[in-house]
Amino acid sequence: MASPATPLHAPTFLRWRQERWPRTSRTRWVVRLAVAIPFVALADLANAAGGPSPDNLALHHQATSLHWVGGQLGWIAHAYPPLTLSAARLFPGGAQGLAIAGGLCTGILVQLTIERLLLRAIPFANAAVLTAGVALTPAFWFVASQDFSAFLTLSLLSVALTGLLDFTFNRSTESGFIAGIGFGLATMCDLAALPFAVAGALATLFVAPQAKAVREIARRRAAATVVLFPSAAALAGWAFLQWRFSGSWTESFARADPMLFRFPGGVWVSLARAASSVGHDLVFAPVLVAAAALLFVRRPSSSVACMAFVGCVIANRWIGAPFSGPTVVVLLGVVALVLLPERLKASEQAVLWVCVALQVAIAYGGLHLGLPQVADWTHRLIAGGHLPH
Amino acid sequence: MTTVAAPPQARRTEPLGTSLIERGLLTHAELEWALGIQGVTGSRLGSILISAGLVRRLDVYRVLSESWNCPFVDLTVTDIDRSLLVRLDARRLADELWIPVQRLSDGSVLVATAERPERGRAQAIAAVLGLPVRLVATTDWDIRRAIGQCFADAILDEATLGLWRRDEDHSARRVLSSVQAVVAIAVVLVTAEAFLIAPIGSTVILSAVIGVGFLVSVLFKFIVCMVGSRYEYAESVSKDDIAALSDNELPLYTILVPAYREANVVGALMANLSRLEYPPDKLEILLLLEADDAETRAAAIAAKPPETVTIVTVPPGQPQTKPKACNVGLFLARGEFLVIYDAEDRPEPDQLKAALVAFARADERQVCVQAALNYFNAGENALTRMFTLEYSFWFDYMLPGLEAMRLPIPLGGTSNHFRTDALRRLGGWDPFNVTEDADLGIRSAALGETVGVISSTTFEEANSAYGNFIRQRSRWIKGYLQTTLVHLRHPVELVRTTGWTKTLGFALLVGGTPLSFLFVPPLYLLFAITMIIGPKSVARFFPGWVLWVSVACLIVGNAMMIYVSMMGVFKRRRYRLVLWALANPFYWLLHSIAAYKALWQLIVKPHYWEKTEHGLTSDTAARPDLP
Repeated sequence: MASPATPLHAPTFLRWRQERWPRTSRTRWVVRLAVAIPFVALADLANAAGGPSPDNLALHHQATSLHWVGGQLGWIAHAYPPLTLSAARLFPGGAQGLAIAGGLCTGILVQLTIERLLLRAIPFANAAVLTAGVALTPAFWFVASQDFSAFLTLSLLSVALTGLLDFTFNRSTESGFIAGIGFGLATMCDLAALPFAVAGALATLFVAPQAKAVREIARRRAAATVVLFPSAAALAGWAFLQWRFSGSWTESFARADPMLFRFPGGVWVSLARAASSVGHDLVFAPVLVAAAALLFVRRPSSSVACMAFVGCVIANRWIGAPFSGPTVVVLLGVVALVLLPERLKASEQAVLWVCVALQVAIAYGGLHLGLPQVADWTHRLIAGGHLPH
Repeated sequence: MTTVAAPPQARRTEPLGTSLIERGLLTHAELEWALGIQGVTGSRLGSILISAGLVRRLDVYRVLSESWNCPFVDLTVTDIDRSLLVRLDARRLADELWIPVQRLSDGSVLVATAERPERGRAQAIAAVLGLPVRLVATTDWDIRRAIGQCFADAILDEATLGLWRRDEDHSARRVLSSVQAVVAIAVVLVTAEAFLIAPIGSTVILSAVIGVGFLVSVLFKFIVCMVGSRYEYAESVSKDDIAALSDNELPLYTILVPAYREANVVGALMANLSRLEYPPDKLEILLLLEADDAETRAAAIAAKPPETVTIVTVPPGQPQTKPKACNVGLFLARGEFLVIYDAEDRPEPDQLKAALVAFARADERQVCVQAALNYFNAGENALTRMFTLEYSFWFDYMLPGLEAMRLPIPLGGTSNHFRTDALRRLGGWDPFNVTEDADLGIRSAALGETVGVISSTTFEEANSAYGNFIRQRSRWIKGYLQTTLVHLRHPVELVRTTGWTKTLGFALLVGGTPLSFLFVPPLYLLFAITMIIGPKSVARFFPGWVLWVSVACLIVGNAMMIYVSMMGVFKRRRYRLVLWALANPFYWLLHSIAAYKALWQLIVKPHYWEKTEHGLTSDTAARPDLP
């Protein structure tokens, strides 16, 4: 007899747990470390070539300037985002330590990305090429070694989005936990993650099988709630602490993002400007465009996820809590891999290979046009003799 | 007075079915049906006919007595010479289904048997009694009833004091050991002294200890839940596994149903248990009723229970608790496996088979598997919703997580399936512990045995009345306190037997839960005070790190526990309850009221059983007995 307790059969979930890549925890860590080593070395080279990164340095200064153990907690108003600030406080080595931590994060991100692609029945060679299309770009190196906060945030968002897909389609509550907590932690790393959590929650309302029954509507609302709750609780909790100890609900948010809700030039002008700049960034992410097209062909409603994601990036810039240009480019590349559909046909794989080649070509060729920070940084490395001409 | 039917004139050897048809007690079609069942289950024809209600037990045994060429004795009207029972083991008699009745003038003993009176059987019984015997036939029901009456004192004594005699330290009969009493007094005195000498410093230290304890406890539960969530779809027992079981191989299964003052639900019990997909002739249902509960007994008889149900009267005596009744049931149980259900329970129909598959896969050390519990009246009111939230996370995440991490599992009140022999080896339930189930789970771990969980659910009635809730919860919390005190009597030995991880898991789960509820009101009060007096004044008294821990408890701790209960009901597909998880802080306050009541009762009435009333639900869809 079926009952509410009768477990669903969800082979994808079981595969998620059973078909880890690599098989054992030990080898997974070996792979992560092996991938991370070049990035850690790069962080060291970058430091030698141009000194510590301004973003990591600022984060480190902010973390060390706070009186964490004092009885007066008024400093909470200066302590957003708490997660990356805590990490900055805990990691030894100052800004350079943060660059190395970013390098270590790359290992985890790359291993998880390849693992997810393999679970979608994408051959290892293709998975490796697709991942390399993101990881072997200057923007990726730049964010990993120069902006620990952004890299940690985008890694968490990637994990959260993977969980969200499994939660939405396979109803795995373990993945629901991963999605919700991932978004919550990302929100505590950067306010820019909040629109992604909101969009993730909204996506559960629109993107799921079986659309009509009343019970299904209740399920979707509940799903949206559990995805959003950790982020909402984290932000509400932080806002409460600020209010209690500094008298302001929003001060630390405003300090972290001074342009928050300022809308320079007016609401609509700033919206148009945000949309235009993100459109520009999309040039660097042809794989995402291809993934959206493939999703649209397979299941039109699922392509909403891609659009919602791009919408979030626009919303970030519009409300004044933006990711930097390089971060957006890396994020778009990583998300493209998260959203790729299962079991690609040979023709689809061919299209993706072309897009990967295009993405890498643009990543190198278009640096001066689209990502001047990354271009400067690369030049400094090359000029210092640390990278081959 | 002895009533022995005259022996039959001629030896009759017709098969039982033919004899019953000849007497007009059975039709050919019924016999065909029963033989078909016998082909599948391999059970005795008599058992099948009796359990199906086709032939009365008495008629079957009368016919059998004729076929055995053996007189029939009606034990309900026969006096038993109790001097013959003095050195006999009641359990052996119940297992072997014989009982000595009277000394005969020729020096032999008249012995009633419910099994074929073969020569070898007579010799074996004679060897036990040390006297020649003359066998007469009777029903198995008569024999068990006679044993229950004749050995009432011994059964009561074993049910009440068996564990205490076997292992004093594992019984909650004594609340505190002498060492524990000394330590408790010392802690109270030192704390009081510290508060007198340095009130602010003591408050800071105490709040820091409480805060860290709280945080560790919450983190522990959250991690266990996260591990448990991994096993969401990893079915320990699948429908295919159950379908592959052959009825022929199924063992006798005993179901214990202790009930006290539950006349209003005992009728529904029959309907709920009749839905179990298990051959009736391989089921033994013991309805355990207290001697002073005439109302429930009358209701049970009025419900016309099937022949598989035996009403057992629990001999009167203190403590009058559910575990004592269960021990009486355990004493009489014949099943190779045994499960406990409450009177209002609705187990999933294939639960017994799911448990058997789980046992078959586990090693011999696994003494018990726990099915999940949930509620059928979740939507009735705020309390039943909160109850459902709590049970969903507990049984769907916590217990699978504890099992996966090989930590001790405190059993839930019902739907615990046991290997009967192993349960007897463990000493049965502690009648002095008011959460005997949780205690048994921990005792199993302490003695090196294991407990598993199965993905089958029993639906119960959630408490819908606040007073009833406080009573029930105070008993549970008192039981957790008792269990903690019992198993921490020899902490070094516990660590040596079970290891650090299991000991810590036990301490955090069983000890930490009541402590958390006890500390909730002072922490809420402290929070309210800090809201009133302002942060600067707070900072004067509390160092930053203490504030940090408190803040983490307030925000992270609450959010984590709310989140797991949210996800628990989501998993249970009770989607409309998800937002109710936000009301958990108020629900925990109710627990705190119950916790203080529990603490008080632990001091003044440690073994008092706060009775939970069932059948209060007004949810007509949930109550089959309501129109």
